[in-house]
Amino acid sequence: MTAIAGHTTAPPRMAASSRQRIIPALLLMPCLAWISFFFLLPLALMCWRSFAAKGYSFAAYTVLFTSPLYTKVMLTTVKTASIATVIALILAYPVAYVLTISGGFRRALILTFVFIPYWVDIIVRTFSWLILLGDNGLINKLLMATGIVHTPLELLYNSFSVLIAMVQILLPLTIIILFGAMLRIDRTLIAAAKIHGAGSWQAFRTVFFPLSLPGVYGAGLLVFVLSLGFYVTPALLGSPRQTMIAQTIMVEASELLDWGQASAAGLVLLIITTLIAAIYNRYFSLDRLWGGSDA
Amino acid sequence: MSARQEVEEYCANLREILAATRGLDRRDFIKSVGGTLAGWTLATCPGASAELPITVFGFGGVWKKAALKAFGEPFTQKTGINIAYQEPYLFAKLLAMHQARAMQIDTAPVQGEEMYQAERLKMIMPLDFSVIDRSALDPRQLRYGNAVGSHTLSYVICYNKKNWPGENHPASWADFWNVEKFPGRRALRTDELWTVEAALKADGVKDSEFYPIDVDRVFRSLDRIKPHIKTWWSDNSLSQQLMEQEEVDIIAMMNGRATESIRDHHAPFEIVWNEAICEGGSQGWIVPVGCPNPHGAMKFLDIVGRAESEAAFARLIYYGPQNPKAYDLIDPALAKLLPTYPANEKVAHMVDFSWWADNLPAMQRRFQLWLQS
Amino acid sequence: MEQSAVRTSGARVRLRNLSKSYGAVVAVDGLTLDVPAGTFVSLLGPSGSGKTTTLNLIAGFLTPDAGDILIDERSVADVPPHRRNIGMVFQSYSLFPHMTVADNVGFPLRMRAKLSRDESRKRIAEMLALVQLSHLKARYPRQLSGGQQQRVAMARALVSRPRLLLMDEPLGALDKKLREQMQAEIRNIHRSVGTTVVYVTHDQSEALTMSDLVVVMHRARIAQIGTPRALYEAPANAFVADFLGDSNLIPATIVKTAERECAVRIGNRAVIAAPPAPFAAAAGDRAFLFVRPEDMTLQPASSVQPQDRSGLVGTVKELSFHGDVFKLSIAVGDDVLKAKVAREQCGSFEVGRQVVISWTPNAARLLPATSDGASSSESGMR
Repeated sequence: MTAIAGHTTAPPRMAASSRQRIIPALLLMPCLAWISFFFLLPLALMCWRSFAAKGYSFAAYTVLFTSPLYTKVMLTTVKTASIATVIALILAYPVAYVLTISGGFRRALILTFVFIPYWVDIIVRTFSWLILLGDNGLINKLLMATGIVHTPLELLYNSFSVLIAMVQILLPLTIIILFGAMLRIDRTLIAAAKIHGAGSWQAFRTVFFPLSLPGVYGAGLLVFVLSLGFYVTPALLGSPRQTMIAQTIMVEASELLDWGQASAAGLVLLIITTLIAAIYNRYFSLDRLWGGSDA
Repeated sequence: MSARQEVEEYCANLREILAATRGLDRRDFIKSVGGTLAGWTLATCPGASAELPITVFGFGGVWKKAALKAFGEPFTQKTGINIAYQEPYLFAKLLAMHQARAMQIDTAPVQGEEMYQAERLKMIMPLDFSVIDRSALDPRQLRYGNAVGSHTLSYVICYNKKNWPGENHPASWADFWNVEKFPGRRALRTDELWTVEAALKADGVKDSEFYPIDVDRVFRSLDRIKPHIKTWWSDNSLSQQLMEQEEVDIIAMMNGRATESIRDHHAPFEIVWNEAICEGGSQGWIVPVGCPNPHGAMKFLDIVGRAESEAAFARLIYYGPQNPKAYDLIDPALAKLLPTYPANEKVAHMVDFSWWADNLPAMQRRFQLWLQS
Repeated sequence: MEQSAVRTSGARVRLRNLSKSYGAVVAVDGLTLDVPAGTFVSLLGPSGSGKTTTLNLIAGFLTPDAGDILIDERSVADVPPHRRNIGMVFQSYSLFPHMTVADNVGFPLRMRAKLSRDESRKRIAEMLALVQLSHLKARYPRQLSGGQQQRVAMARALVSRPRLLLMDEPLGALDKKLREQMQAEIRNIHRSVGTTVVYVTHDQSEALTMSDLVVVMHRARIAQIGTPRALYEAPANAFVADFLGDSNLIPATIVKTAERECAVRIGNRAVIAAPPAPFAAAAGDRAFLFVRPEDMTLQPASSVQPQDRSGLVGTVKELSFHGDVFKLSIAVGDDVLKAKVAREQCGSFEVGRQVVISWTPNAARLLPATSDGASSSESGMR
């Protein structure tokens, strides 16, 4: 984007400098064409459809904002995604930290273990939770065999099971984003803290942790946006009370064939996501995650 | 469509690749894997032909295997036409292709209220009886005029025999609703159509007064059972999981899945055929307007309705044939497990999809709101 | 400044037979060094010579494979970095980007000295005054110039009055003018605080200018230890001679050794008198004759009678102007010698002219042909 802005604002003074500006623009072309054709164009069609399908009116949007169903689902979605994000961040942070301070072999080993579940199909992973968490599942059997509980715990079909599975799916990504951010922290800063009197914990608390926060914020937003779109996990592991917006959109589109309504819901989700990202960015500058200046 | 079917299919395909590639060198390996991969999308039946293949749109997993075996194989043998299979079937996709005037599907099994919508939108080509042998079909298979009726499924109550081993077991929707007499963990489907029909039956509404549905009465009835539902399942394989892991004691689910779990996976459950919520022959194969190979598709429709094909399909997937002559070819022990078996059909409740075709969206929204609050 | 409030006493640092390897690569090989209290000592050497590893061993960031480090006669082998009471200035300053200048400087006080708030504030103010940055204490590091960041790093390293200050090429990122200014400032600060400084650099002029003592390192070992002047005037081997300043290392063969003088032959042309070899040498041995370019005396060949020519005769190949001096390259047979002459004398030397080169016997030195077996290959004559 910046390359294009640079190209249009400053008139090229010399042939060489104009070429220097055109080349980045050319390099962006395939990606831009791809995005335009497969993202922006469908998005525009979706936008048009959300009005046109209801006789060129805001009817679909009226339903969205007046129906208690949509309000509730949207709130559930944001709430579930937020909690899943926070848990994923808390669990991922120590792993990413250990990765950062580990050397070649140990790092490769941990990364392998982090990514093994990532390579397993999401549906298979979700089904595994059914087997683990059921009344006759491994966990309840263990708890009952050891006499900790006498009747099976209700581990499935509630927000607990949805969250635990969502967090499991989100963890590899969260770890890898945090790891990437932590790798960018200058290790000599830790050495500087240590030589100037900070023990390991103090060096972590006063230097490493504050410097890792931009990465945490960035990972948080990415993971949150990803969580908003969860579909299979709440459908299989949740009760209807845990219904998330993606499920509702899916029902509108594929069962009720109400594509106007589905488009409107999709657009509102997109707008809400963008808004949240914008507000978030206002307070926790994301530019730092992309390696920009943190001024 | 079904998550677990997909999983099963991945595994089966991987096993196939492993078996086929044992002891091959690299070039053979690539050839062999390529062959298996191609087979996933283009199901090749024996007997190649110069004729254009037809594209069949259907469900994935077990359903696909059964359809290719019961309908695809005899079709290709007889006509020499190959089948390209697209999955999973979704009416929304068919509709989108129709609206975009880019129909890529030659034939698809359309069900329930979708059939009414397809009719209204003039998506269905008239049947060509110069190709389809009418005498091989039962008149009821042609109830929609332009579709060949194929199979039928039912939403049935299943109870755990360990809880109720004797004669005193849940035997009706009223019993399902009666938590004092039959205490236990219960599961229902999140889909509005089946659960709404069941709620009205549970409230004692007679079949003759069933439609138009008294919506408020439905939700009063649903309110009574809601606190006692341990889980609402949305995916067929989840319903099987619940039964096979004995996570619930009494569950309402689709009959084919229930039979598969009980017969093949030994779930200790029993199906109640009384008041089964039955599709009543609402499923039918159609040829959509504007499809690439309508002539080939009509030849396929000539095969699907025949007693032999229907019997073969029922044997593989436990859905009821709409052609009664098929029962002559089915083992009696299996026949009793099918929704269209005369004794089962007699006690079943038939869904009127014409009412649902008009009322589905409104009912769906109200039901989902009720469910989620 | 002499009686500054920030004055402390320096620590004596001793390295005993210190070794460190990374896999098959030996970074520090049996290093023994005694740094007297309050000394400014430079570890000087090319990259890879082991000087930074030595510094990291003293800091405690690395654990030695063998040997011991004593600070004030106490072994610090089991003391982690944060308990060694050391200040350190890093190559890239390593200021904490999320803290203000004042917080950066106050960091060691918060971590190590349990001072009252007021006392801390006073110390920070003192340190900032010492590095002349009092007006910038609320800024963040990224808002400062390189030189200013350098001063903050100094202030942070010294605020808790450590008895030992380690500096790892602290001026490497600055431009030449700023470097020279900072060199002087660091010297001044060292003089006013009195702490022992171990300073790592690869810049020989920096080491010569700033240090009380220079440790020249080469291939994981110490090539020579001495005052800057001693090293410059009396290098112990060809590596040191070549690494410090410009030098001529003329391959020579010893002809005769005597107590007060010996004679060498250069190529097959001349026999020249030289001071006695500072190493065991016999007639017939190979050696380097070392002469600094500025110690060469040049005369136009035309102005010297052939019978008076006691030195070497060569041809001027190159002449370059360096402000205060001219540098000349003079071909003598197959060898090329370097010479420096003052600006006003240069008129008589042009490229292509024949010159007679001579030096006083005291200006020359004989060095072993192989200094330590390690440095022979690249320390030959250039």
